[in-house]
Amino acid sequence: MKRYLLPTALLVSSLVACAAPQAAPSSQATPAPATDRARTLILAMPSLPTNLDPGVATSGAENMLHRALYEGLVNFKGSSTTEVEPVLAESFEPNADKSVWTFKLRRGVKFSDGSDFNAEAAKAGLVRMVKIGLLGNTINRFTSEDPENNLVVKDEYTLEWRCGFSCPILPQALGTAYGTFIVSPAAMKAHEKIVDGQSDYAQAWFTNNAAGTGPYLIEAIKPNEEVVFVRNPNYWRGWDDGRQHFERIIIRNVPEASTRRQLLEKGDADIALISTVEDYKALRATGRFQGSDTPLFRINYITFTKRDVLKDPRVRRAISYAFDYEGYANEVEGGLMRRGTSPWPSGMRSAVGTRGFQYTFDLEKARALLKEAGVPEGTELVYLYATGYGYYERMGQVLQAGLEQIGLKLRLEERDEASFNDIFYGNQPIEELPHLMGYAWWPDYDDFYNYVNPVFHTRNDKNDGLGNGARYSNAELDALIEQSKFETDPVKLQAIYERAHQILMFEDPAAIYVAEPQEEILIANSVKGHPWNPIHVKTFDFYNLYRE
Amino acid sequence: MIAQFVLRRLLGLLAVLAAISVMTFVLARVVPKDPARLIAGPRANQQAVEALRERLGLSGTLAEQYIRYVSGLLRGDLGLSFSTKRPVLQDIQTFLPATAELTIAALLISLLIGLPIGIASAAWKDSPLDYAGRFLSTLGLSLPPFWVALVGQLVGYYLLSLLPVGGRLSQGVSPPPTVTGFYVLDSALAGQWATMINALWHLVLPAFVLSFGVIAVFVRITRASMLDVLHHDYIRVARAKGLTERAVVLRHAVRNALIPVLTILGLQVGLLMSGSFLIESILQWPGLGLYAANALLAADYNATMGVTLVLATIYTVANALVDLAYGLVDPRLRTA
Repeated sequence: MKRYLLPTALLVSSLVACAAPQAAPSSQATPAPATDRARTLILAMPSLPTNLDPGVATSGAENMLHRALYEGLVNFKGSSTTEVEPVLAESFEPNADKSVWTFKLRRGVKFSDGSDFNAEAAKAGLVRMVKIGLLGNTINRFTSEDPENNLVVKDEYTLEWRCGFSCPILPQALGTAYGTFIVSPAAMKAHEKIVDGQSDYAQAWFTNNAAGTGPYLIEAIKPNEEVVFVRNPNYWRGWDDGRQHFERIIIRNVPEASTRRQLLEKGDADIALISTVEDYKALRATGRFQGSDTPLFRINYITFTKRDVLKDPRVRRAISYAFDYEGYANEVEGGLMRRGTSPWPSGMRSAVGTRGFQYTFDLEKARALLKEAGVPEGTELVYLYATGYGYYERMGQVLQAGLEQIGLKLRLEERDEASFNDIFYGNQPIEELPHLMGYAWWPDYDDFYNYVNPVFHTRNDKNDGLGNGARYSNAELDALIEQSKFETDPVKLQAIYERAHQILMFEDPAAIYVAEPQEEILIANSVKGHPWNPIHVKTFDFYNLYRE
Repeated sequence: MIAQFVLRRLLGLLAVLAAISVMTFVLARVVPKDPARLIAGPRANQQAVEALRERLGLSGTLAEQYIRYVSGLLRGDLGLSFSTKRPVLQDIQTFLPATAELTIAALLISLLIGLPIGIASAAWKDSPLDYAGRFLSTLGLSLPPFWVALVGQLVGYYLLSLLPVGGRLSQGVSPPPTVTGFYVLDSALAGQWATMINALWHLVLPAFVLSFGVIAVFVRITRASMLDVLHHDYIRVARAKGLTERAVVLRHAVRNALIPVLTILGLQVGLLMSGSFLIESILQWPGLGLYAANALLAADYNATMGVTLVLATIYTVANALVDLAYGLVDPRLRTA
């Protein structure tokens, strides 16, 4: 017996070592949460940037934080992309030619630092946005690039906005959550630094602190872990409207896709970004979660760089015919994307729809066009895409399969996002760019100019910082874009849209307009109040969310 | 003697850190990435990007940037993290305790499980216990850590609801007053037993997953070393003297068999620290590994270099301590 004592003791010690920590989660060991789960909204998101400055941070994830803390003059009404409702503005009206808008501002609103919101504050916040230069393009267009003189304080609660041209869509432009949020000028003044005689608009301070009029306040920022918001007790809309608003909002950083699904399924998260088609469909099928069934205002596309054989528009047309649009949208993406039919989102007012030219998956036409253009069999092209987004890779694979059938080779090259951006926004000459690149774009608001100008205008060539990564250039299109900026006649505008569509799709194709994706967000059925607005991508109007 | 040893090690550490700072700096800069563009986002114009580049200290030649970096380093300034927008030193102070706590827990688990099994396997060679130990070590070495992490979470959290997922404490549980930064220890010191149990509960899965491969290494090394020692003459003498098998194994064999284990202990600390990059990312443990993984993806040069320097320091110091520990375990080495 004695000879077994030692091995037994050793084995037991190992088992004890294994078991000891597992004994911890007894019902008594787990402390009851101090927060009421029903009154806490938990989001599981794949990344957690923590830049709180609405004038600097541009990603959707950061925008989500800003919508809890800040507000603009107006907001899109529900799921509408054209109708807005007043927020910090109580009302607004234009002059006869709609070149000047008068905003009557809400009284009794305070920033979270205790200072008053008024016309001076609104002007200072908007000027800051433009001067920083990262997001201000959205509204700068409507100030004739002189916000200091064209935003005029008429009295304490009246702000006059002078566009310098007829701007009927100004209120809609202000409905976007990009570049329209107003920070406390008192906080800005208190924390600004003057460098070389120029104000930094307190960017350093606003990066980690907030002073807005929004419904929530920052309770804790735990980098890489979570951001916690609590109700702003002095919020001007109040909390007693009969709905069970959330007392606390926790945005958790959950990079692993399977974990986000598990958290949502177990009820430990109320909202999650579900990035795989299989997970999304499986969760929707349970009936426990709500999602959107309509596409976002967003196009996933493959740019053409006009180099080598792609200088010839017939070759670009051939490649466009060799992409299996329906197969990609319905099979590869499981029906969670709609096939692309237009250079800009098909839900936008400017969409040409079926009146415009459409590509079909037609290999015969593709082969004929290649032959006509004299492209040698086996010509190799390069497709570059950023890692981390499966759909860019899948788009490339579908194109590769199509091109193979018409005698072209496609080499897929993957880069991490930073390296990809360096090429897409870089200074390389066209001859050094990849032939094709996977990218996506969405407008700030429902407007042809706002979408097409950054993506296709020659002006954005040579790294002017916008979305024309392939340095596309077409003089006629440039003229149409410029014309659209100031045109208000609906008939003339319609003609511009149709002509632009024809150029970008057929005459001088700029890209393969692959698909329009749906929102990848799922929300527990108990959470109400999310309108699924196709412009507000991956962000939430937290005040209007409530538990039922 | 010891002073000379420590001095030699210290100089070696400085040389290692200098080399690492040059390597990480150059590597980070030659990779074609522009953090200013990444931070500024797609809607920023070039002027704004240039201004941002200036503000982030990314302007000037490579040599100028390096001199700026090293002069900051000498003042204890590791620069600003582009992703968290905080000083890197502050970030490291925030995240290092979580990783250290996880690493220490994993190391303890590895030792507590690996050593006894290794010893038992050798002492009862070719017994069912030995086979079980060998099977465990093969499993530990062959299963990829990310798979173990995913399955552990699936079973522990999703299927059985026994373990939490992510974080160091449950929602609503406040961290204990900071003494060491280790939540388990700090909550015990503060007498906050419920917090301590909660912290332990969160530690279980990541620590076990992280230790999984290391247990296997300890089992193998301990077993092999024990088998070697058990054939030495002095063990035969001890048995001939009539000592019990327990005394022979525990008093004479184990102590000498531990020297190779100590050698790899230092290496395992490094392995565990670097292993935490993957485990922390999968299991959302908010430590230095998750911080570094995010920094790498975001082209956050300063954070990447800061973490590399800290890990290199820990690795080098751990190995120096192991060298010192040789003398304590084996008296023959004290005079060598």
